[in-house]
Amino acid sequence: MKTTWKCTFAGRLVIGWALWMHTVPGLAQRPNPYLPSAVRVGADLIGVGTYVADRNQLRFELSADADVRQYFVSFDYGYARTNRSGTDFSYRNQGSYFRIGPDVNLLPADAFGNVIFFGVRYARSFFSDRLSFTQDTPPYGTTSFDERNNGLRAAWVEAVFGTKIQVVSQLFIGFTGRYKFAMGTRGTGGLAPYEVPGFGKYATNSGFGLNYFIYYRFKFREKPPLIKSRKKAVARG
Amino acid sequence: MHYSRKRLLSVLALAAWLAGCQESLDCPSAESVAGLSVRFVRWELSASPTPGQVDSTKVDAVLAFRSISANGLPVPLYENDTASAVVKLPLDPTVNFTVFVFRRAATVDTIQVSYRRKFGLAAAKCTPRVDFSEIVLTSVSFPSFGVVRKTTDTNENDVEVYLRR
Repeated sequence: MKTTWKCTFAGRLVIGWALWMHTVPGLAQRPNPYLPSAVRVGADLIGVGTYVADRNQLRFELSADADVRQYFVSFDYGYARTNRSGTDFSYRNQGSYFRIGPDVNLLPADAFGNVIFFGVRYARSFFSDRLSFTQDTPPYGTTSFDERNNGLRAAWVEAVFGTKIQVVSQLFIGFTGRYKFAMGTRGTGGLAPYEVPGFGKYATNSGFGLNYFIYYRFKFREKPPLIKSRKKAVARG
Repeated sequence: MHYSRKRLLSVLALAAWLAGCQESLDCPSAESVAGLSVRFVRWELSASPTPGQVDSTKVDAVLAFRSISANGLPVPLYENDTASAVVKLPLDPTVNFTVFVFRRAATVDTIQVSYRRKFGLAAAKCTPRVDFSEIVLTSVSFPSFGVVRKTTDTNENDVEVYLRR
């Protein structure tokens, strides 16, 4: 009951704010520099290419960002499934992951919306894996093993950089380079995972990654001009 | 700051080329299969040996075993083998412990080793491997012993067994 009342109250606040914006003359038209002017949504092309080349490696990743002045709030969501097999063994790993973090746009005043950025991400992965194999273990004979991990969790941090370049109208392409580090996992048992979805090899605590995205930008309004701080304006005369 | 679209697209092309790079992986050799390396040492009763440390009170004990067997296997690991101060004993990957029985001319001694097994792939196309860690000697009939290291990932001695001089 208490939660419902809170939600209702929050809803009233939002509706009240919207009504106030529309009833006060000129307020809605006033450009708020802290509200996003567009949301860009993209899909990773490298994952698609990898899957076409090797049907045992599926990686699907979406990325979205919204601008806040010369910054972006970025969010990525992905799903990965890998099957690896060899002589007398098979390994399966699947799970989802997300990354969230801010970026700094080095081209905030670009008329076409082109972006060169760098930023940081906090990432988490939720996955499971299974290793089945038969091995000759002298002198103990030939044995079949079936080891699995369920409900694994991993977290890491990324330093990212990249570009988003306009191709036509609201269509952009770009890449994101990542340095992933400080990876930690929870829930591993008798099986050491070979890889962590979204991160890469489990055995290494850090690594590089690259995404190649195609984006579409949903533009809400014109981006308000950046207001330079008074100190900078004075310094530049 | 002004960047031409051509320049930005050339950066993208470079990124696409880098994306085609793949890590090349080599499988570890079969030599890396883990086993417990036991070194037999004679020592002075008055001294207190430190496992793994070079000590003048420690002298290698070259023992001649009639046989060494493991986990009740009908065929011994070693039989009437050349006398040696160091023996390499394979740990049983099917269970969390291995009991080794050492038979000499007049005595029979045992060592029970407990450990944690961890399975995994060393590389994408390589045969899975098992690593043993948290090695503990839970029962030993020799006078005393010392664990040098608790993982069997090197070719160094993992356990020292101390015999009286």
